[in-house]
Amino acid sequence: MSFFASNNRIRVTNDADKTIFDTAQPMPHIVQRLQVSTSVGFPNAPGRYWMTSAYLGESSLCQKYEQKYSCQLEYVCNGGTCSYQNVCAYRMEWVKYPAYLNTQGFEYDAYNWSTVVDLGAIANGIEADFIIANCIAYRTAQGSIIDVGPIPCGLPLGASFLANNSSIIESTSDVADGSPWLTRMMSLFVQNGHVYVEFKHSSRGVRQRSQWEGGLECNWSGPPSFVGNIPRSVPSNASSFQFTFDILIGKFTTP
Amino acid sequence: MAKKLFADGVSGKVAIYDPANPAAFTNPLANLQSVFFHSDLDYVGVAKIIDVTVTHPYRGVGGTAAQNSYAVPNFPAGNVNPLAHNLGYKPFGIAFVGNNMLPANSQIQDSGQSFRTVAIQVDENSVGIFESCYVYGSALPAINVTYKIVLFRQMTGQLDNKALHIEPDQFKAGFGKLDTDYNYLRYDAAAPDFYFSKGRTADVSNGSFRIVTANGALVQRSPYNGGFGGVPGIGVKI
Repeated sequence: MSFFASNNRIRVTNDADKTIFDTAQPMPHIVQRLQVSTSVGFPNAPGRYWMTSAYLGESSLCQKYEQKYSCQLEYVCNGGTCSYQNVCAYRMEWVKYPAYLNTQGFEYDAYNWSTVVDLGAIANGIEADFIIANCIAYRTAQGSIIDVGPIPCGLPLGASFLANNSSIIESTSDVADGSPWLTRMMSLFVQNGHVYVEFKHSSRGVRQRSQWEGGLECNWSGPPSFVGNIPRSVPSNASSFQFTFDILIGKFTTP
Repeated sequence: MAKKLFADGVSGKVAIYDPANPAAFTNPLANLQSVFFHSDLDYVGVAKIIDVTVTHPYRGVGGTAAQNSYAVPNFPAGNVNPLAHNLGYKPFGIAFVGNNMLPANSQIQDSGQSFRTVAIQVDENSVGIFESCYVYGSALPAINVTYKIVLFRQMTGQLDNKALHIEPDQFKAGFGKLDTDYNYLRYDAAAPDFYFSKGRTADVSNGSFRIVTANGALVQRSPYNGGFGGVPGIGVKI
């Protein structure tokens, strides 16, 4: 161990000659510990189903062999006199019906949202140099996306995790190209003598076809409907969380 | 600026401060600009450093797309590698994932619509690499990832009963707050071991994200289109 002191510097080393303390190298110390809980509700990014129908005309792809009242020229003999006559009657024949090409899917509007929560003031109005944080997160409501189901959260819910500065909370991919499509996050930061947490959501506008796409539909008795088994409204993608933060607010000593 | 080492035999307080500002000894928090060490301050020491390489396993796809339903994502999640620290308290810490101090739940792998994220879980006895996988159309192959987790010891309260204690092999001051037996953190801009930050290290835009770590490393996935530049961190040496 060595202890060096001069007019403008004090330095202490251990037996291995490693510097333990040096007034020329400011030391981080904790000026305050903040334990606080807050909650957030990420709003629903608006979305809906859509369907388009392209009229293909009466098609042999949509025909039935059925009884139909129709008139046609027939060679009719009556009392020794034969001639072509227009004869009307019910008879079995192939009947063509209108065909539609239906395309169905869903769409979400581009949506961005954020909110900032003041978690508390720092004593003595100190402008902190850093924060170190642990956090426990609970999800109180889980949103869902129509094509992929419940939105995943990769945080260890209910357990403590290192939550320094920013953390990603929820994310999903665009099923069309694999890129991130919805991301929700939080950031702890200090500003003007306060500790804040910002929650932020971003999702792109997207228009997808349904996996089954609807396809050809024959109009037997009326206008085409939605293809069966496809829900008419998208589920809510709003998620809610409660966070309990344990935050060390730090400052470096003067160099 | 002169530095004064002063030990008060009555209160046991020890400080190194600018003698031009005597209040730095009696009220250090309000005079931090004149304080170099003070036994009233709670310093950050290093309790444990865990260096580990974790093999994250293969994760297969979930249900396949049927004619009348969408694909079913596979969503395995859990602590893949609990690592004992046996500190007896829930520590604070920082973590490097690979070379970067990534935010919790950052992606470490992606393939098609599928991705894998990690967060660092802590309790009184262990830390864990908590992974979650969102496996949609593409399986995720196994992957090796290195982690460096620095767990902190907060030097609070009275750790020793001596105001000033000097022996040939040990120096203690301020009831053990300053002790050559411990590893303390110090500012170091030139060759830091890691960084402290007071600001945001990630942003979201256009559905995607950009991470700018405290040391300026950038991790981003298209189509992020924001202008987040990050907040420079402060380099720290152990």
